[in-house]
Amino acid sequence: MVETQSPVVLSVADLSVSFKQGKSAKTVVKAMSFDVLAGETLAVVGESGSGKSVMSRALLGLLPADSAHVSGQAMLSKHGEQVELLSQSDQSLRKVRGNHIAMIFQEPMTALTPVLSIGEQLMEGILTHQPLSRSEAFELAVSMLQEARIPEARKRMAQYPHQLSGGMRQRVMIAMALACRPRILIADEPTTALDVTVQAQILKLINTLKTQYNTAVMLITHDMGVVAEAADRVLVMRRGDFVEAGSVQQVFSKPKQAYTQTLLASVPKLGSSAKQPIATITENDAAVPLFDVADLCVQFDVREGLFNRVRSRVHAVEQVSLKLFPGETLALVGESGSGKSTLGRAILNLVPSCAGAIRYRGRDITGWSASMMRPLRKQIQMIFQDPFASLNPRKTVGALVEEPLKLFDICPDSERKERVAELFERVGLSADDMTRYPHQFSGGQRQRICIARAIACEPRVIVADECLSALDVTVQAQVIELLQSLQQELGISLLFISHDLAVVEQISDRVAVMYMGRIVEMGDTARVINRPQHSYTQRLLEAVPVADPTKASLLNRPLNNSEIPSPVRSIFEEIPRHNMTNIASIGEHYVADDSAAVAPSPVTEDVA
Amino acid sequence: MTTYLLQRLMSAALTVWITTLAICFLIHLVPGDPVQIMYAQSATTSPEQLEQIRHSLGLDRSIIHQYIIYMGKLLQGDMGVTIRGQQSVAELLLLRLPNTLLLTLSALTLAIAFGGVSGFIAAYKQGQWPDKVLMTGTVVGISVPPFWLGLIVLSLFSVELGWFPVAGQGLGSLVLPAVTLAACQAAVIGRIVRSTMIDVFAQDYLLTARAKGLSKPKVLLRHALRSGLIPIVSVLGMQFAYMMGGAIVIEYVFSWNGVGRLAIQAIFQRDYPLIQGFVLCFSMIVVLVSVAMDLLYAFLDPRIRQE
Repeated sequence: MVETQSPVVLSVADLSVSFKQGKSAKTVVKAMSFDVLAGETLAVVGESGSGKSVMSRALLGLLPADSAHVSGQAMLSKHGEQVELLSQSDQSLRKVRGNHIAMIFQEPMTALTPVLSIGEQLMEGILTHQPLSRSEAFELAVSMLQEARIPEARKRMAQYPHQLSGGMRQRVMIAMALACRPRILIADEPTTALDVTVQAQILKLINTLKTQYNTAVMLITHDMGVVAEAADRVLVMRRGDFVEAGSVQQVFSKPKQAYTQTLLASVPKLGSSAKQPIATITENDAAVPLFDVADLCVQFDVREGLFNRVRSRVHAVEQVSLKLFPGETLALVGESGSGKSTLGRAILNLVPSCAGAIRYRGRDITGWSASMMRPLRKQIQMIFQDPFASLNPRKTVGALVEEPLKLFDICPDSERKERVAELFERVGLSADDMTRYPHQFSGGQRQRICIARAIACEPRVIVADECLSALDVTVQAQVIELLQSLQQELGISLLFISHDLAVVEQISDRVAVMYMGRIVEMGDTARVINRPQHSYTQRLLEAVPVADPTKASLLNRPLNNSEIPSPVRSIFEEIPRHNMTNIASIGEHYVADDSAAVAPSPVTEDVA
Repeated sequence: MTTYLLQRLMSAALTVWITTLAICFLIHLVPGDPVQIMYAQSATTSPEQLEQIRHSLGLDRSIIHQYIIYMGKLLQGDMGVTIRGQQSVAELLLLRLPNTLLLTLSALTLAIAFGGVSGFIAAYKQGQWPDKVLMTGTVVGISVPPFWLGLIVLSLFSVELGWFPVAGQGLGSLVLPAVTLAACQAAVIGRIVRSTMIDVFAQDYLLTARAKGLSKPKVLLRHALRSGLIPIVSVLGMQFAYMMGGAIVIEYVFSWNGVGRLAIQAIFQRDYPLIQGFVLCFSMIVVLVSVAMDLLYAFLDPRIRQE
């Protein structure tokens, strides 16, 4: 893709970064050397703690001056002259930042100043580096917003960040970064916080503008799929060390280092790793479902006006029906705001539902209060996304895992410690770890502790809400394995809430795709993923990056730039009846009938 | 924005109304007969005279009736007359109010200036010596009782050194009470500003601003301080209310001729109409200031302004 004669815009040699820690220093980037060529995308890949973000910030002098020590050389070529970046003062680096090298960050929701308008934020960068008048800067800003494919660009200038969606904010960041036509764009995990469909849009936008302006892109990411889709060359890092570098084709097809091989092997690939469905359960009509949810609705009031009256409601979950059978894994898939987490919580009565019924093992538990639910909590456990936030930092992990045993009086006091030790060993930790505190463990280990706590009271169901999202791929693969072996051994049902279709394919027997609070498609995982019928499912699957450069096609496909509509509806709006049809002759594959009549049909589809 | 403003004004009006209710029933909360307590010192008052006073205060009528009369007069700006001297309460309060406002507003300005700057510096130099020194200072500021601090500065700067007058109403006499009143508030504001700015300094958007190549003052003032002001302003209104309370004691210590000193005299003399007038006046000021702070808050925060 890149001609060999592309000029080098940035040449980094022996870049090391260390941080002072008390009296000692910790080296986080060790003697990295690489070149960035004009018009190419260099992907810097590594798991968390690999030093990839620190390295990029060191180039622009954005690390805290009092604790970070940077050494080495970074030659930037601009207009024919060479400038060494690392020896520059902060003041002269300011002329490089945003002008020759621009950056965009991971979290579009927090990367823009909330109190300044989009226009002000765009224009201040332009006015800092270019000799333009305010009105010229305004026009340039508007044209940059248009380049970033932002509709109604002129109107956006007066808007504030909170009025834009995450995808739109990332577009603003890109417009801002490219306004001064930098030689290099450093994109630090630019799509990690975005939904896959939006990720595809943003990757494509970066690629288009890169070609248009002949900008070099340094794409920092942990996602091998994104690398395969968007990069020309790859640089693999691990714990601050250089692992290997090469063209995308080379690294993916013939990885030289063992670490790269492990990394690539850990990536769940869509369409390749289907789990054998436990057919006996779902096809056996006599099996009593653990959960039987019918037409469940959850709405949140939106209060407006002088007297704070309810004028509209967020329809977070809309007429959802599903069943969860013993021992199976049902995945709820959807993008952010699709209502998947709310549904997971509503089933457990953690969020009040406004219509529909929830049956647990045949008993109607709809609207049960916290005290009524308490005896059931023993049988239904939850695992959350952030394993650090869900462990009390002031208690030892042993005490945390012991807590449910005490609470539900599961085993006699004398055996409790022994039981906790058993649980630790079961999830792949050592019994010696029991006396340590959560902060002394890595993310993956913490999630194992959360799992140990969840299985401590021998539950029938575990609701896992994005429990793998915060983990690196290699760790993720291990935790998936653990969950699967626990499920086989203990026969636990898993309601697996996730946005990651590849992981879902690996772990689940059945999958339900959610969109705007509704289930639009549901059925055996292999069937839904290989033969998606609903247009939304198709769109979602198409947007998933493929971790194989020979099959990568995201950037060549025409993209749907539309945004997901708002789930806020007026209280007077009539909600059409939501019907689903089973299109499979054997087994199940329900697809939403989107053109369903407004009037409730007399024959209600029993979903699942 | 209009809705927001109307909501604030409505809740302010409601607060003032509830205060009038409380004030009117206040007198009935006094154990025993208030009139008898008022005139307990003067043994010469005859029961007939007491009855007459009771009648003139309206205390011989039903509570509801009394409230209606009170509100009727209040809406015409009539807060009654003082028991000692038969002066108009409203006039008396209006005469003294400018002094109190001068004192509290100067103290607030000082507190915001000192607290704001030191909190900002402490946050910027977090963990380093300026932070440690300033934060130790705030602990002292918060722990020292204002009346004690007042007596100390009075004896040191006025009596011993003679730099400022011991009492009086000029600008020179304003310095010591204003500084004393500001000291504690500056410490509280300093701590709030520090913790707010530490949060703001860790935000991603400051990295964005720096990566744009903006100068340090622009990053710190335009991006950091402007965002930090929002939570800070929201507590300033409450701080002002505390300050009004503190002003009562300070005015007394420094013989500052404000409403607070008048109130203390009224309490000693059990001049109920004056106490009632004072409570209403103070609560209205606090309500007005908090409405003003809410407006400022909305002005600073586009999320509220745009609604």
